[in-house]
Amino acid sequence: MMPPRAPSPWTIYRGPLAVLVLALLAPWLPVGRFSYLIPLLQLAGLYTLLAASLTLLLGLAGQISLGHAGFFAVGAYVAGVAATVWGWPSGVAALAAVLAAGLLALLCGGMILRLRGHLLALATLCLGIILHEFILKSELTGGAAGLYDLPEWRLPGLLGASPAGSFYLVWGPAVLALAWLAHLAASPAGRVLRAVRDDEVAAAALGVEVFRVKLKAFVASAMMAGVAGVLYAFVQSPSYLGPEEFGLNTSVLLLLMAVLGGLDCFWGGLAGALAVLALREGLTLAAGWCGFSGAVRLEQLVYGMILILLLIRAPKGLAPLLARLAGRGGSPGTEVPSGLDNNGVSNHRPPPA
Amino acid sequence: MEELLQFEAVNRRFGGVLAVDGVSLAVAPGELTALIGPNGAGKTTLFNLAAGALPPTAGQVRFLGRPVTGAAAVCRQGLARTFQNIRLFSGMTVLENLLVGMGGHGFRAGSLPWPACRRAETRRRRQAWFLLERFGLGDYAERPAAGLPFGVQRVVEIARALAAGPKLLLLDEPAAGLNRTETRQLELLLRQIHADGVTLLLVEHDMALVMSLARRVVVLDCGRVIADGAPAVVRRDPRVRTAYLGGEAQ
Repeated sequence: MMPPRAPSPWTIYRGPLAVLVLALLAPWLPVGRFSYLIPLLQLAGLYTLLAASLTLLLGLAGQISLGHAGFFAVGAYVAGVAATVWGWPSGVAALAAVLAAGLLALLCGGMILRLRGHLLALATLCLGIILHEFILKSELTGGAAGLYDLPEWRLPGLLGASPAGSFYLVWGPAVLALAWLAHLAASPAGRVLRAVRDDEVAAAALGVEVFRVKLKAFVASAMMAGVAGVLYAFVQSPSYLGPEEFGLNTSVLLLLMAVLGGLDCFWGGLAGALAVLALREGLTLAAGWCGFSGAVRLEQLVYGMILILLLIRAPKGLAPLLARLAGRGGSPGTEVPSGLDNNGVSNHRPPPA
Repeated sequence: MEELLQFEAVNRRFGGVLAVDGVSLAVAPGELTALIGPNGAGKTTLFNLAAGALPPTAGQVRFLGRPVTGAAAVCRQGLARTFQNIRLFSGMTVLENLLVGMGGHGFRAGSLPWPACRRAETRRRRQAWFLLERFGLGDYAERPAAGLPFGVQRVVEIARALAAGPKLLLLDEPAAGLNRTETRQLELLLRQIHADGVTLLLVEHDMALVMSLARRVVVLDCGRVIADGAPAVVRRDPRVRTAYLGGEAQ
């Protein structure tokens, strides 16, 4: 017998490639009077990037963060402040913003990543709250009033005038992030992350520098969130950057998207982001049609109930569920069959040496 | 010959308990040594000290002459171990379990799709596969480690430790939970590993296995070494008999 081959580039990247094709086509969809769907899909791209950063941290490395909106905020605000207050060119401001998010993660991660489980959850939660409070109270960030008239990024030329001009700028990094996750799932680096997730003691006994691996994953994840912040500041909402988007709600929403989508699949973040946004939008529409969109906000209740039901029915997330429904695997190396096949195994004895 | 592993007056205290009490012990290359003793004698603590999982309270543990500073570092120098309660990576396949110990951990080596990384990965896969084939585990390569029968998990854990390319292999109760046939096969397997030039140090309660496999037996009681020598000699030692309360030292 031959050794099982490492998954080929095609098996690894066909998934991200499909997402790329869809993302390229999406802004040209003939949506007619539902033209607001295109900006909504653009927002889904932003959330996909953010949720993917948590898929990396929580799904692969097994480390939770309840403060990821904080790194999102650092990306957005460092870019925003550097570009408007300090007058830096937007490209330099963006670079500085992503590096700042990474640096902050390095410093904080060095302190809190030795904590495990709910202690780490609380520490990251506090980190998120501190960053949010800082933005709310600081003069530099404009406090609750926020920042206005940030530089707006659009693609050059004819594309720039179309909806695709901003759409592609958001989805480009999102697709790259998904492709990187797909690559990691099948690569030695991803394997080491999963080893740390499954058993830190055993990983260390096999020569893995557990703490350093966790720190790297934390920094990489924070930098992804930082990129999302930059995109939020310069592409998604360049006219106004305010603190509302970066609170605890967002941290929890991101975690919800990552978990709901599925932590074991590279496109879990995508599935989660799309599902949550579609659910929210659909319920608002439905509430409008039924005529109870007033003070009661019944759709919020339904929204919560549906999410709970989904998490109960599909604890592994939507991505593996959808992949199973489609009758094929999500991504090589990421899916772990949960059912055990005991055929011919139960009688097994260790091999004759 | 230079010692592989060396304990120099090592103490390890847990609160008020002195689990390891002034142990000085050396393991030379090529040895096949068993560490025995009643429950609570400090065998596993001694293992954890050697593997860098615990720091000593006093004294020093050296591997290849260098002080043991941490589990990952000592593993890369050539010390691998298995655990008393098997610790496989449950979310991975058997093959992936082996691959974890085979490098490619660095950011540059593994996190981006360079062609050189792919080649290195193919090489690692082939090595891991040969190891699995040799242990008759080829059929399990692509199976999730979590669902395998206990006996198979044991062998997978040993194969995984060997995948790290150790000079010294520490085995913590490798025969625990195995039936007689499995234990017999384990013994053959360990002999084979030893014949390949890997020094073995095992903690074991199965006296039949210890007496037939080990060339040297070290007896630990209450954190101290009370006997050290050839199996036949140690077996007759009155202190050992007392430690086991006239029990199982046959």
